Amino acid sequence: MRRRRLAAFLLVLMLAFPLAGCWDRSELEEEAFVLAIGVDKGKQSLYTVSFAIAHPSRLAGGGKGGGGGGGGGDEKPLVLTSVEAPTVAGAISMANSYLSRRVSLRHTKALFMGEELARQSGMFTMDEFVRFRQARRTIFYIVTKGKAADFLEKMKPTLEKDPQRYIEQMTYSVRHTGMVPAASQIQQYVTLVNTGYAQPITYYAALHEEGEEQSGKGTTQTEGYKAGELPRKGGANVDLLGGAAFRNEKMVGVLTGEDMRMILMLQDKFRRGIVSIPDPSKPDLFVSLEIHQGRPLRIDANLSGPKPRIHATVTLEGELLTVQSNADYTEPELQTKLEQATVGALEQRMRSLISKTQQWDTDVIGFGQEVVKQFPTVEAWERYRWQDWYKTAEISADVRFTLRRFGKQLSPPRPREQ
Amino acid sequence: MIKEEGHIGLLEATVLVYAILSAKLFMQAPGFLIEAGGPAAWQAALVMTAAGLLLLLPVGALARRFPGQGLPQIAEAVGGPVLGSLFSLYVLAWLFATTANSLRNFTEVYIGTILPNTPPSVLTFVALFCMAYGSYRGLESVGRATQVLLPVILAGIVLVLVFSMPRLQLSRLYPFWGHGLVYTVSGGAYNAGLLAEAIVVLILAYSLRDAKNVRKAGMLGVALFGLLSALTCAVLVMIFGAPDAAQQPFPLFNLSQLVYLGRFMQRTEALIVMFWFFNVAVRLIVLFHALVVTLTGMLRLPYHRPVIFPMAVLLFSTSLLPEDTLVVLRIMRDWLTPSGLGILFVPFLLLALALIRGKGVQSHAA
Repeated sequence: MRRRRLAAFLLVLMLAFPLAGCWDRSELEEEAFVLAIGVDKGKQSLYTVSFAIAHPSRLAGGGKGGGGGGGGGDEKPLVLTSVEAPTVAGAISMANSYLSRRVSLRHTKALFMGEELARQSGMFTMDEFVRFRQARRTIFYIVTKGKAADFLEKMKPTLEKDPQRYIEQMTYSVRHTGMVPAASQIQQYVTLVNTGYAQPITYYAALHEEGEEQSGKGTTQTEGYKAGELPRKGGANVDLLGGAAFRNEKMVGVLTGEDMRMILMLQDKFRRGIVSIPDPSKPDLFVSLEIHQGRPLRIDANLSGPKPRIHATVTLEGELLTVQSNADYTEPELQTKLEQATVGALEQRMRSLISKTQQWDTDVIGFGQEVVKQFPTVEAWERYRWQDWYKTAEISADVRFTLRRFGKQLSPPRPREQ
Repeated sequence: MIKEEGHIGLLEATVLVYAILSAKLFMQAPGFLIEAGGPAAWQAALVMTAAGLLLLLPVGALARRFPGQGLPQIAEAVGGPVLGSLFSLYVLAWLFATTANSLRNFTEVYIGTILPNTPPSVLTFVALFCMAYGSYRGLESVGRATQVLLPVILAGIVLVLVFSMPRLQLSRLYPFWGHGLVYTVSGGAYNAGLLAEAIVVLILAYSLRDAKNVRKAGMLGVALFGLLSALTCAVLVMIFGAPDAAQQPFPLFNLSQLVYLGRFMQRTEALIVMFWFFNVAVRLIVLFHALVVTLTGMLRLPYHRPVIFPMAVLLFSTSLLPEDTLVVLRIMRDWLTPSGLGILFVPFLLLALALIRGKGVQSHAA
């Protein structure tokens, strides 16, 4: 009995040690949580690394004010600091020498990389995020037009107070617009670069400069813009639209929202989105349709000829949203005409996209993921060198479109005398 | 004969065999299989399982011929004091190296993932305490505790795989035959050494009430582990791609970090790591107990408890010998896995010898 009591006492005594905390305890008040990192080409060192650090009391509202403006008045919810260093880890170490709290990447949600650096390199920094314990592979990888540091400094979210939530929310737009990549986390980027079955696409973001003349091409469509070129006013000063196309670790081009939508259709990841096409009855006016996927994508790859031949069949369905010409598309003949016009417009956009990616020599669409299925072994696939063939491959796309619904109105409202 | 208190049934024995093996899924076993099979790693896992099951078949026959006896006793009965002791010594040496390596691997995994600042000796001490206490309580207590923990142990793997489903990319399983069928089959067969810990079922055969259950427990445990390995490899390849997945020392941890089901279902690794701890603890306890019991049997001691403390001290010192993580991994891949294949041949050799020499119950009956 005595021995048992002694054993129980010793056990309780032993439990007391871990209760006091362990070597890896961390107090919230001692950590500076980095919500976003910006990486640019450095002047004195390899990189300029910017940390957007959460200011917890300002993010929480602090009890002052209300609404979207936030409780802290003009106080920003983020503290921004930049430091020149050869690596991100080195930058963290340097930042720790002048910040009172320890820099932590445990809550980092986004990595912003300046376009200049993304076009020159990219994989060097990615290794840090894959290897470093604190970083997660779910961090969003976003290329910014211009410097990432400027982007982080000037970014002013609206509707969302928390910039982290704002970015996360923006990425969800793929579900209803299809104008950003289906996913752009470090995980996808690294895996695509490693396997080589397809090339990576990341989010592309730009600051919208108010009052400045936009460099858009004056397109009459709603989707053919790059980030930063939208003809708009007000709202948040950030455009997250289109994508950055990579070839291996280097960025090679900027994709428009329209390009992204075509890519999603050809990747079998398109959910739904609104397209505007010239009205077949009156080409100077427009028809808007909400389209969504009808059937799974079909891709046929034929490697027997002198060049690889790939044919994609995209099946879509749609609902009529707007008819400016007052044409009655519920009439079978006109319905067929509209369906054909939609098919023609989409096929033309797909051809343009495919040609663009072939010029860039990068299979961002991911046809390689179908081509690889024709090879029995890894060695045979690697000998084939798909990346070298992509530029010259004969790639075609065939769209099948059925207008399923006509909205809440059948024939359009029109003046009595018509 | 060891005076071990209590017995275990079929379910408990099966769960123990499965738990010993499944802890490897959190460590480097998937990486080894992916290295061997590339995109066809799941095929390599199935080959590994088939080879392991085949090599474990004689375990049942041995247990039936020598009811109520463990491996050291069977080896001595079959091979005599010299040859029998050599068999037991080989198993003992391999078990010792495996347990020491697993102990160190456990500390490396936890330091590399969630406890970077904790001294390795502290983690080793905590694990050793669990091992020694588990062995002191005996197999019946460990078996029952593991049976209760089974849902948690299974959840540690199954939940991660299920939550990862939105990320699956089927095309990454191609080229279908990986590096070629020959490479996959040879790689899978080589990695059958990863199943060598299943020999524990023969070492602890004396604890099972029914000798017929020894084979069943071994087979079921290995089969369940094999299926989950194949599934884990397939999921890892479909998400990370074979080249990336093969280079990850803790792929399942990385997978759990990827769980991202909207804003509300993230950072699941905090929970999953806790589940894994139970699994790793069971593995270490059972390996340690098997090691202690083997030595006790070889020394013909009636009780195993006096061996616990010296063995724990030896393991503690040995586990700290490898210089770095890579040495730990290389020992596992280049030494313990191939020599584990030899361990799987031990029951086969013992059965062959028993048949030739007419040892065991059946020969008496005849």
